[in-house]
This record gives sequence, structure tokens and C-alpha cells, in this order.
Amino acid sequence: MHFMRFVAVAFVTVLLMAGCSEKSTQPTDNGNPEGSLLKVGEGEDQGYKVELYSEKTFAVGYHRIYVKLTKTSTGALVDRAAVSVVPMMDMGAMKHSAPHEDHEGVSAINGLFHCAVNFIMAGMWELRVNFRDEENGTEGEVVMNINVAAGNMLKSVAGTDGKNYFITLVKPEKPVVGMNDFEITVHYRETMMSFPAVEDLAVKMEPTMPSMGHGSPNNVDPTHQQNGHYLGKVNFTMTGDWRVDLDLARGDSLLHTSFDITIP
Amino acid sequence: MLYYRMVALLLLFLGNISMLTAQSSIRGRVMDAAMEAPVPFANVRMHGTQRGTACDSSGYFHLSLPPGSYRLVISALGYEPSVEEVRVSEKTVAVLNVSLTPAVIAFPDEIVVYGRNRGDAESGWLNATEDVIRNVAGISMIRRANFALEPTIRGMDAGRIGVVIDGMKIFGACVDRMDPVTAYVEVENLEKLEVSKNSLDLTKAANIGGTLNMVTHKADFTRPFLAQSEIGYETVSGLRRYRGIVNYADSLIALRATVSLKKSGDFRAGGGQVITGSGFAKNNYKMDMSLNLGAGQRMEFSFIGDNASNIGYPVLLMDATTTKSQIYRLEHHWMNPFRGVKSFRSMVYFNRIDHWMDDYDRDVTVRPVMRNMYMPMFGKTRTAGVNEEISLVTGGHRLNLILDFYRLTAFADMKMVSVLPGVSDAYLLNLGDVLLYNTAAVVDYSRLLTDRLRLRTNLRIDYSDRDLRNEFGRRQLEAFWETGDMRQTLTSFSFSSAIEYRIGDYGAVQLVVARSERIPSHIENYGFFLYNVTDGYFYTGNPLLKPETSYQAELSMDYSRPEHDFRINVYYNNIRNYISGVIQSEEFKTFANITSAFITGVEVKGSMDVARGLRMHVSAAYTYGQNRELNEPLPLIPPLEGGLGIQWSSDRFRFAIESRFASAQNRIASRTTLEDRTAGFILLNLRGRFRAWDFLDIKLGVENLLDHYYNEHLSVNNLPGRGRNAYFGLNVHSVE
Ligand SMILES: [Cu+2]
Ligand SMILES: [Cu+2]
Repeated sequence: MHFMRFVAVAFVTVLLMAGCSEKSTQPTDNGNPEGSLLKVGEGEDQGYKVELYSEKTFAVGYHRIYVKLTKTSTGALVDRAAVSVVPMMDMGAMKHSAPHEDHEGVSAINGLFHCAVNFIMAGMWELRVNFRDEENGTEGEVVMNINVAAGNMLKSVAGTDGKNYFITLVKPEKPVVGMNDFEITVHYRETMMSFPAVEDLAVKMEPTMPSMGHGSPNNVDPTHQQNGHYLGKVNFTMTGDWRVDLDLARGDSLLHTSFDITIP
Repeated sequence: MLYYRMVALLLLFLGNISMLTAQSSIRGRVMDAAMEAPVPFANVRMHGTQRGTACDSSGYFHLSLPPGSYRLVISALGYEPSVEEVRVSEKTVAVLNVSLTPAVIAFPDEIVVYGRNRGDAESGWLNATEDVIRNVAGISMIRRANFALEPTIRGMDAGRIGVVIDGMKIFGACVDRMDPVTAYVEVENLEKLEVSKNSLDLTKAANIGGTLNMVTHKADFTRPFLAQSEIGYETVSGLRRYRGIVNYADSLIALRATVSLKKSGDFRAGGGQVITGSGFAKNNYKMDMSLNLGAGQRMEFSFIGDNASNIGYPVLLMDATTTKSQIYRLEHHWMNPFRGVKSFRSMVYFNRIDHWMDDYDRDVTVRPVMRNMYMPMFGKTRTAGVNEEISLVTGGHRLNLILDFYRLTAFADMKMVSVLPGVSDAYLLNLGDVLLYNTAAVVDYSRLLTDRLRLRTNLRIDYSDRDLRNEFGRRQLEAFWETGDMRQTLTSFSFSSAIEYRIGDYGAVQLVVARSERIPSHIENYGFFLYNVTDGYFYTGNPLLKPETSYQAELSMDYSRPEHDFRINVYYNNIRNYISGVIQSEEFKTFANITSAFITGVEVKGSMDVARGLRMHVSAAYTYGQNRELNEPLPLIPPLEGGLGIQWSSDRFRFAIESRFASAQNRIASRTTLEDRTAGFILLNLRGRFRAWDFLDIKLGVENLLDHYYNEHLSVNNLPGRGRNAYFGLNVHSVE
């Protein structure tokens, strides 16, 4: 009888413990709009403080850049402004820019203005942040220097039309086994200062594992969404080294490139 | 004058006989074990002779015999023969009441390997379980190596048929099917095979192609002490084997333990070609304990352990390096627990199978598939089950109610390691932690409609709940199926009915109709990146599969006398929602329900006494399968095949000449698979067993005497069959 009682007590204890260990671990909200973003620089102009955030350290490729604008006097967040970030690289003999996206509209999203820069080279870059407060019309500019590391997310390829194209892999950022969103941007070099988005391409995508000679089924070719962003789906059936081949075409084939992606 | 003297002499002689026999005799009654009804006209015969008598229409018999010990064989059309030992003393009448188990409608193809017949009990005539299974007309073996052949029934295998050991479900751990369940029962542990080649018998498993139940030898209460030790050798592969059996029993407990050790080198094909990398080592242990609890109750515990290592699969991409299996069973029998209840049986079981394979011994730099990659793989299954069966019998009716529950977990993974520098390892899950529950209720009802007409009906409902629990595994499959939920619940409903009519004293006609369903296997639902050697595609499981449905009809005729018997079956099996691979992209197939397929065929089997002690056996089976959707033959259907043999047996000696033949198979699934045509062949085997002393038996034989080079149609990648094989065995045993 004692034994049975012991078993019953043990059973209940185990149940209770199992119940307690179910406690969820929600990340706490710290109240900052920038959350877990990385601060990459700040500056002041015209009584405004400009802070720059990124999701990751800078390397060649596409980066979303978040701008936080506050009034230095009061520390109040500015949430209606036109904001742009223009990248510039000084190579001595010449200067050039890179593809970039301004914040759309004038309303901040959760206190931040969303811009993007596609770094086409490693090295020191200048980021020129221009803003115009919609409330009082004040305009300002802050210039920051940042260092961009080398990377393999961007391909610079000459098209059959003689133009130079930049194809950048945006997603998957953290590739996993199974279905992944696949996103690239396509820009071309019009001048050293102008890199318009290319929006009219037909893209064919094919993932393979070169070490095994097999591909994967159920992939979705990327199609254009907006601003030169193409969205599709890629299926990685196992971990290891994959290569995603891309054929970009405007009628006839325009260019071919590929990205190496390793699934950990 | 001479005439009268002769008549007088004859009368005197006959009188003497009748005087002797009038003094001692045996009388008794033969009853149907299932129905509690008499068995009319059963044969009662002295073992090894034609002497005997027959029962009357009420099952009674009377046999006059001089005093002594006798072994009587009681047989009747449609029943399993029973062997009874009786001692007849002077001037007494021994009483012998016998219950016969119905055979024809139950298991028309039951094969007694080590039967209750003591004379055959330890004869160990065949070397391997596979040789026994192959003897059933309509069963063919898939051969992937010189190891663990997998049975198919009438061209159907895997989830379509149910292969169980003592009714236990066991699932292979190898996703390449290197570990069929039949590998775990060594021939000395196989008491009998219960084969149902159609879905009439639904008591063992949901199936659309029949079941194969391997009934193992349990601890024997009738053997106070028995010990046996056998060594054997086979020339074709240098196989050395050892077998040991001990049995101990008193009135309360019976124990049996067996061990089987085998080590084989590379085998030779016909003509002398050595098939390199085809050796293996295998150890098998079985332990049984039975407790006599009294009042008709018995408890049985049994354990099978099976370990194999370095199994060469020369025609597959990799070899099995280690396999470990443990099979546990606890069973309680209660005979006549209550009035009207014939028996109550409860079984609990558990088994765990682990399987490792790799290609580290291969030159991966030269192969066409997955070049420069080593691919170590691991798989495991754990199955636990409960089986309850109650048998209710009243005069002429038998109702068995069965509850069959099991829980399966299955996992399999694969690593890919490049021999080239700078290539990352790759990894995937072939089975991402499957959890499956299956609950079934079965009703098995038989009744005698008249003396000559018997009906059996089975009804089975299965409910299965299954899920893929591993996050990584789920992501792999979700990329293929637009379902956020891998969990599936499925129900299947099966129904079968047979009617048997007896013609005269020796004939019977049986008609079986069935509509049965089988729920997809866990591999068909959740398997991932499974390389199929028969078509060169990687298969992906489909969680959205529907059950396969089969509509069957079978007509069989039996004619069975002690001196000759004959049986013919004709069947047709139409399968809807047939599950097959469908091309998804260049190298991938997924499992899908194609509309329909059918399998039809005919089997004949017979034997006859050609002279005293000499019996001839013949069997043949033809199977025809067609994929209706693609209008091409179903893959891996055996050709016309069969055997012809003659066996001579006496008290100390047994000798057989057998031939096994298969015709060419030209009906191949050339559009969906890489299956190729196979030539026909005839093999000749000689087998002998000789009792040299009371404690020593010598076994000798030659298989494939003519050293013919051949391969069976179900040999994967045309792996050749074994060349000429002389085998030898020495069996030392305790004397009774
Ligand atoms: Cu791969
Ligand atoms: Cu394997």
C-alpha cells in the first residue's frame, strides 16, 4: 500500500513539474523602437539628432537602414518626415554611389524611417542622410562614415545588352532546410551616381547541390514585386552546400548568375 | 479337401487376429475444435502406415489394436491433422477424444515446419526460414543480398501484406528495407506459417494482399528435457553455423532457449563468379518461458534478440554495418474461462529495431549516383502493442472478437560526407520522428450452416492517428505539401466472407469475397529522400494519401486424401487508389493514389504417394498485375514459377529431389521503373537427412546442383542467385 501511495505521489509530482516547465519565454519589449537593431552611427544637424540602425553589420549586399529622428531640444521623436540615405564611395579618381531606397511616404513606422542601401563594394562608404521635417519644413543632412566588409551576396554581371547589372540576394538571410522565401534585387548602372531598379525581367531559378548533382522540386521562380525586388520560393531538401542558378531574361536571355548558399 | 483345410486355416488365422484385437482397442470421438461439433468421417491412421479406420457421421471411431504405444494421425478434410500418442494396455479400451482445428477456411496454406508431430519435430529439414516461406505457392521472395529475403504474396509486399511474428507488428528500421520481419525467426524457431493469401483473414493485420504469421516455437511442457546442438557448413558462401536448443519442463514451468550463430563469406553465383562484398554475420537468441497457472490458464513470455553485422549488399549503394533487434512478448491464455467462452487471450508486446548502414567500404568516386559522397544512415523503430482476443463458441457458431492496438515511433536520418575538400557535410531526415497510433476492432465469425456448408466472415475497422514530430522533418515535407499540419487521422473498413462447401468425403469448394482497405504506411506518408533502386528516383512521402481499397474474389477447389491431394485457386484483386510513385521533377517522385490496378492469377498445388514411403509434390503459381492508369504491367510481379519434387522417407532416413522453376518475365513496368526482363530457369536440389545413431543426425544436400547462373525476377538489380551449394550439418540431440 505504501508503495502504491509513493507511486501516486511521484506521478502527481512529475505531472506538476511537467506543467511548470511549460512556461513560455516571450522576449520582453523594452519600449525602444529600434528594439534589437544594431546602431551604426549618429549625428546632428539643424537641432535634430539622426540615429542610424541596421539589422546586421555591413557587408557587400542589401541592407535595410532604419533612421530615427529626434529633436535635440526636447528629445521628442519626429514621426512625419521625408528621409533618404544616399551612399557614396570616394575612390580617389572618381566617386560613385550605389542602389538605394528612400523611405516611402513621410510617416515613420513605429518611430523609424525605413531606407535601404545595396553596397556594391567593400570598403569605406559615406552615408548621406537627408531629412525634411514635414511639420516645419526644416531640412538637414548628416554624413556618416561606415566600413563595409566583403561578402558574397551581390553579383555584378554584364548583360548581353552591354549594361552592368547588380543582382543581390536579399532572402533567405538565414536559410533553413525546407521551403524558404527567396528574394533578389536587380539594378543596373546608368551612371556612376544612378542605379535604377530593373523591373521587367523574367527570372528562372534552379537550386542544386553541386556535390551531389541533384536539385529540389517545388521551387517558385521569383517574380517582380516593386523597386527591383523579385520574390520567389526555394526548397532546400537537406543541409549542406547549395547553388542557386538564376537566369534573367528580357525576351532573350540577358544574363546568368548564381549564389552559393550553405545550409547549416 | 485342400480347399476346406485352407478355409479352416484362414478362419483360424483371422480368428486369432480378432481374438487379439478384441482384447484391446481405442475408441473416441473427433470434434471440431472451433465449433464444438463432431467431425464426420475423419481418418484415424497409425503413423507411417496406411492402417487405420474412419469415423462415422457423428465423429465416433473404434480401432482394434494389439497392446502397445501408438502414434495416431487424425486427419479430416478441412482440418489440420493432429498427431496423438496413446498407450493401449491388454484387454482395455483406450479412450481418445480429439479436437481438430479447421484448416481450410482458416489458413489454407498453413505450413507446419516443426509440427506437433514429434517425429518431424526436430527434423530440421530445411536450412533457412526463407526456404520454408518460399514453398508456399504464390509467395515469392525479394532478394537484396545473400541475407534476409523479403516475402511478397501474389506480387504484393510491404504495407499491402501483413507480416507478423506470433501476431506482433514489427516495423523495419531500414528505409531501404534491408530488415524484413522474417529475418528474426530462425528456422528452428518457426513452428508453423499461417498464410492467408487474400484478405479473408483480417485478424492479424489490415491488408489488401494477405497475411503471413510466423508462429514460433514456445517452451514445450511435454519435453522434460531436450537438448540439441547443430553445426553446419555451406560451400557456396563458406557459411558456418551453429544452432543450440534446450528445453526444460516440469508441470508448472517450461523453458526453452535457442541460439543461432551464422557467419558467411562472399557467395558464388552459378558458374563460379564470386559476388564480392556479400558476406554477413548474424546472431539470434530466443528465450521462452511458459507458466502453467492451472485452471486452464497459462502465461507465456518470449524474447527474441537478433544482431547482425557487416551485411554486404553488393547491388545496393551501401552495406548494413550493424542491426540490433529486441522483441518482447507477454501473453496470457485462459481456456474456457466462462461458460460459452472458449478462450481468452491477452498479449502485450514491445520491440525495438536499430539499423546502421553506410558505404565507407565502397569506392564512392566511381559510382553514378551521389558520387564522391559517403552516406551513413541510421534508422530505428519502436513498436508497442496490445492484443486481446476472446473466442465464443456455441454449437456450430464461433465468434472471435479482437482488439488490436499498437503504437509506433520511427526515425531515420542520413549524413552525406564528401570525399572532396571544401564541401560541407549535408544532413537530412528520412523519417522525422513519426508517431503513429493504430487501433483496430475485428469480428471473426464462423458457423456451420449444414454438415457440408461452412461460413466465415471477418470485419475489421482500423483507426490511425499519425504525426511527424520533428521540426526539421516537418519543414522538409511542408516544402512539398501545402499543409501546415502533418498530422493525419485515417479510418479503414474491411470486410470479407468465405463460404465452403464439401463435396463427397474428400472434396471442398471455397469462395472468398472481400472488400478491404489498408491505411498508407508511415513511410508512404512521411518518408523523405528515399532512394528507390528499382527506378532510380528519390521518393517523398505524401501525408495526404487516401487508403487503398481492394475488391477481391477467389475460388478454390480442394481434393484431399491421405494418399493424394490437390488444390487449385483462381483469384482476382482489383485495387483502387493504388499507391505508387508519381514523377514530380527530374529526380523526384512522390507517393500518390493512382486510379486503379489489378492483380489476378492462378495457383495449383498437389502431392501424391507414388510408392511406399515415396511422395511427389508439385506446385505452380502464375501472377498477372496491371497498372490501369498507365496501361502497363505492375512492377516486380513474379513470373510463372513453381516446383516439382519427390521425397522418400523412412524412420531413419529422408531424401528429396526437388526442382524449382521460373519462366521468363517479360511483362515489366518499363515506363515507370528500370525493371528489366528476366530469363527463366530451372534449379535442381538434393536433400538428405539420416539418423546415424539415436543421438546423431547427419544432414547433407546440394542446392543448385547444375550450378546454373540465374537471377530471380524479384532479385534487386539482377543480383544473381546462389551457385551450386553443398551443405552439411551434424545434429547431436538428447535421446527420448
Ligand atoms: Cu544533397
Ligand atoms: Cu539499411
